[in-house]
Amino acid sequence: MDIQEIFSVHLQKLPYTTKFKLISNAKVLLYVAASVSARNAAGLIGVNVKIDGTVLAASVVYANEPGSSRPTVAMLVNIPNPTVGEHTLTLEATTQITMTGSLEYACGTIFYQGVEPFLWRFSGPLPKKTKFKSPMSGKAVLYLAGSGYIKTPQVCGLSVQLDGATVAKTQMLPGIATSHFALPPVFVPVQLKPKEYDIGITPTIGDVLSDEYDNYEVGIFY
Amino acid sequence: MALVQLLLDQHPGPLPIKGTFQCLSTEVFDFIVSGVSVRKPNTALGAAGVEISITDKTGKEVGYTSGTIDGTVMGGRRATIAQFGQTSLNAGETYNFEVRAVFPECASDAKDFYTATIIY
Repeated sequence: MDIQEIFSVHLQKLPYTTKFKLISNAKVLLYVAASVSARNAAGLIGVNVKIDGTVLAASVVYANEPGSSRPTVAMLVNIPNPTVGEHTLTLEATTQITMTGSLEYACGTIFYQGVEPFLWRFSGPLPKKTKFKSPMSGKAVLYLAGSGYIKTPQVCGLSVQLDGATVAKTQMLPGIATSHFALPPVFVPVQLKPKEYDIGITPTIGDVLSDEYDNYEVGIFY
Repeated sequence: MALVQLLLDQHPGPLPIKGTFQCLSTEVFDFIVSGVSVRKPNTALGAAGVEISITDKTGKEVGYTSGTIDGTVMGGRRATIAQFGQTSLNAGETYNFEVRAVFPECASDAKDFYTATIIY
């Protein structure tokens, strides 16, 4: 798979803009991860991802504690109609309370794809299910990212099931009760057959809560 | 189809975690380590993070990448902003890897989980 690192920065101010060159006309999947803080109030914080001036997606998280840094829910974005040559990527604040600082970070990576990837992005609450049709047999990369909160801090997380079997998991111990947190995004191999699957995402323990401020992303690419 | 190799799958801490893998291709590959990090109590404010170092049989580093985050103790562990690293190695050869804290001030324990992946 052709993969291209396009930026990795201390996100000291927004908007942040960088140039990058696409090296192929293949389908392009962009991975963006970032951290930001809330200025003076609780609420959604994050970065809009713009390519050549068009907002393609927003990587956000709900921040309960103003001034406290939070990783956003890292995301995969399809770049529509990619063309070889130079392009511009801009990260801009999603909300007015989004702020950056010397300890905020962001990075981006491009995956060139010969086959249309499966991307499933939605908001809470969990669990959620949908259908996914694999176009081929063999190994693919499954991507999982999301957020949640919990009444009593304990190890918790998210898992993805294909036809009921767990194929990916991410876990952590959140630090603050009833405060939203983004889980570490994971890329894991998954063995597929050319068929339709039931795909679902569930909390790893029943105490994990999620609401409309929690975002989730499951991707499968080849 | 993708050629993908899982070095660590939700492996619990504490760090460091060491292991080996056999490289599957001579092509350039990308690799990433995801997990959480936080600074130890009573340390100066600063970044926290997790890194992965790949070494050959002589001990020479042949691959490296990391993920960092604001390590402020208040708020606890946070997922790192994990970036991909890129390298190329010899197919069929065995290499060592070590997942460790980026800074000595970082804490980790059995309630932290790490995933490390190679995508060829």
